[in-house]
Order: sequence, then structure tokens, then C-alpha cells
Amino acid sequence: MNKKCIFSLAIPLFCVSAVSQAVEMTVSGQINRAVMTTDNGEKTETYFVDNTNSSTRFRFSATGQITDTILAGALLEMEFESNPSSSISRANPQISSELQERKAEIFFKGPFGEVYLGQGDGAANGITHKDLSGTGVVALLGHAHMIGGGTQFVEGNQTGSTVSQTIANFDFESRYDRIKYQTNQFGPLTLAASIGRKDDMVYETSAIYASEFSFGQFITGFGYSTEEVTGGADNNDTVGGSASILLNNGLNAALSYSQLEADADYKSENTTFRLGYKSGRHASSIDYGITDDRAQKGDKGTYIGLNYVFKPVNWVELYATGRVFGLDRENTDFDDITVVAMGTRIKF
Amino acid sequence: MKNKKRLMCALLAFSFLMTGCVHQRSLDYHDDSQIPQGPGLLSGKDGAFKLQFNDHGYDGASNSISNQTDPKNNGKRL
Repeated sequence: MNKKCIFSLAIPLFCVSAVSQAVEMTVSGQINRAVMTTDNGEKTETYFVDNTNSSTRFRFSATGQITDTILAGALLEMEFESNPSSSISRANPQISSELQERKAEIFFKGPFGEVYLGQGDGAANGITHKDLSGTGVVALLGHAHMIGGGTQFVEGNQTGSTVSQTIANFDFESRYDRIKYQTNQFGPLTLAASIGRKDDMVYETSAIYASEFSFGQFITGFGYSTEEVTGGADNNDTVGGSASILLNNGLNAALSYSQLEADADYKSENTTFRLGYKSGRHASSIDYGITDDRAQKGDKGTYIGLNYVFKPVNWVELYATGRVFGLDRENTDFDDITVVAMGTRIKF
Repeated sequence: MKNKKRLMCALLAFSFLMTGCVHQRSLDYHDDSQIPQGPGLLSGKDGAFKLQFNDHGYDGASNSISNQTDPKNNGKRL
């Protein structure tokens, strides 16, 4: 194909329509606060927290058609989280809020798919918590450490690792500066890939299948990421996914699995199972999770949780959760940690 | 470990097989970790405060911001 031909194909894709087009800017946000009580077997503490499962935040989004088929836009999303529920602890009983960038990206959507440039989700971010239980606001699948994660395991007067350091999944590389391409849906299937940079280069890819059937709904996702590490160390390779099914009668189930290989002979794994039930404005679920070899080789962290969400109106969610974390480590006998939290998310 | 990988592969294979099912349509999934879809306390049923900018293009005037519609401009919002 000669250059003239390429230009003749490209120009219609990017030229601005002669017809005046409306441009829209939207502002939206949410506040998500909770009361959380932790008991590490030695002492009970109560905190007033921001729920890290879906932190307090706001966003500005601007979009406009640049041709009949191509939409261009910009998104700025900031979070403002004081006392994050995932890191508050006796050692850090008060954490001041900071305005932090979550997303600052531009995007183009059209027949070619979607292209994102800037700070935002990597291609595989969120792949390990695809879940149809309706309880994600208080318990993202596989992310039990989001509530009470800063609490330390103790054995007598000796303190050990925190919940986040020992019981957590590996949801790829989160958000960072990258370029991401996402296909339009091939029926229920969406593919994505991204290249970005943290301290070094990060590569991610994912596939998501989401479909409705006569018997209910089903979603699954699978992803892979690799983060290069400076200094000649092995790359951080993460692989994992999740799947969830919701039947028409409200019964639902989910599974999340992820694995991080940061060293040639050392892998960490997380597996979480969920059973749930949805009925009208009520949703509940029970979880069981296992994390192997996270803080150190030989560790086995376990988690069992009970979650409930009630939506009295569409912009309010009231929720409660109770969970117990345990850690088995060689030559130690840590007490279990119990965490109870209740709160609300209001979209404004 | 191998069993878990096999399980994930089986799930994926199951998904691709299900794409062949007749009675299916794609699901509009929204992640609970994100700002919810739907109405907001202050923003109402749209769930977001909206500003619409419409370039009239006849006098080079700056963009207008309004919730009212313009009958001379095919009912588009100003």
C-alpha cells in the first residue's frame, strides 16, 4: 500500500466534522466512610475510616465527537482518602487525607476500538475481582486486606507482619502512566493490552468475557503482566483471573486466583472463593481465601469473611462486613485478627 | 498449583465455548470499585453534573453553557 493510499484512509479517521458538535463535561463523585473495629487478640481498636475498596473520590470527564464515529475525551479522577481502611492501624492511628491522582488520561473511541494515553488502569487491572455478588463495595473479590489490612499479627508481646503484607491478591500493576489499547467487544469478548512505565517498563494484557444468558449472567477475565526490574533482577510476572456467575434466582458464586513470581524459585499465590445471594436491594456473600508465601516463603494466610450490602435508594449503599484473618508461620503462633466494619457509600 | 492453572484455563475455554451459545448477549459489567452508575444525591437521575458546550459558529462567540434548549438549533442544548 503506497503512502498516498495510507493518508487517504487516515484522514477521514481524524478530520473534524464540518458540522458543529456538542461537547459535554460531567462532574461526579462519591464519599465512602465507615467505622472499623479490629481485634488482634491482644487489643481491640476502633477507627473511623475511608473504605479503600472504593475510596472517596471525584472526577471530571469531557467528551466530544470529532467525527460521526470517533469520540475523543479526557478524564481526570482524584481521590481524597483520610484514614484508609487498608492501612490504618495502632501504629498509624490517623492518616491525613491527600489529594491523589487516580486517572489523568485522554482517550479516543471508535470503530477501531479504544485507545487511552496517560495515567490510568493497566490492561489487566481489576481482572482478579470480576464479581457479580453485589457486595464489592465492602469486599472486592480477593481483596480482603482492603478492610483492616494495616493490622499486625501478634504473638504475646511480639508483633509480626500486617494483614496486607501476608494476605492479599496480586491484581497486576494497578494504575500508572501508559498507553492502552482495548478492542471493541467481539460479542461478549474484550481484549486489551498496555505498555507503560513505573520505575521500569510494564507490559500487560487481558481478556474479558461477559455475557447474559437465559439462566443468568457470567463474567470471567484472565490477565498477564510483567514489570521489568532495574539492576538485573528477575522481572515481576503476574498471572491470574477471576470468574463469577449469577443465577436468575439470586444465587451467585465467584473464584479469584492470582500468582506473583518475583524470583526464579519463589512464587506467591492467592485463591479466594465466594458464595452469595442477591434479592432486590439486598446482597450478601461469604468468602474464603488463602494466600501462600506472600511476606516470606512458607507463610500461609487464611481469611474468612461475611459481607452484606443494602441499597435503600440507588445512590446510597449501606454495608457491613466481618472477617477473620489467620497466619501460619514456622515457629510462631500468631493470634487471629478479627475485623468488623460498617459504613455507607453515597454518590453525589 | 498446576491444578489451579488448569482450572483457569478450563474457565477460559468454557467461556470461549459459551460464545457459541445461541441465547446470549454481552453483559454491561460495572466494577464495584468504581463510582457507581445511576443517579446521584445532588446530580439527580443523570448521576453527574453536566455542562454542555455548543459552538454556534455564526459570530465567533464563546461557548455557551446552559441547560435550556435552542429551538433555532434543532432543539440542541445550548
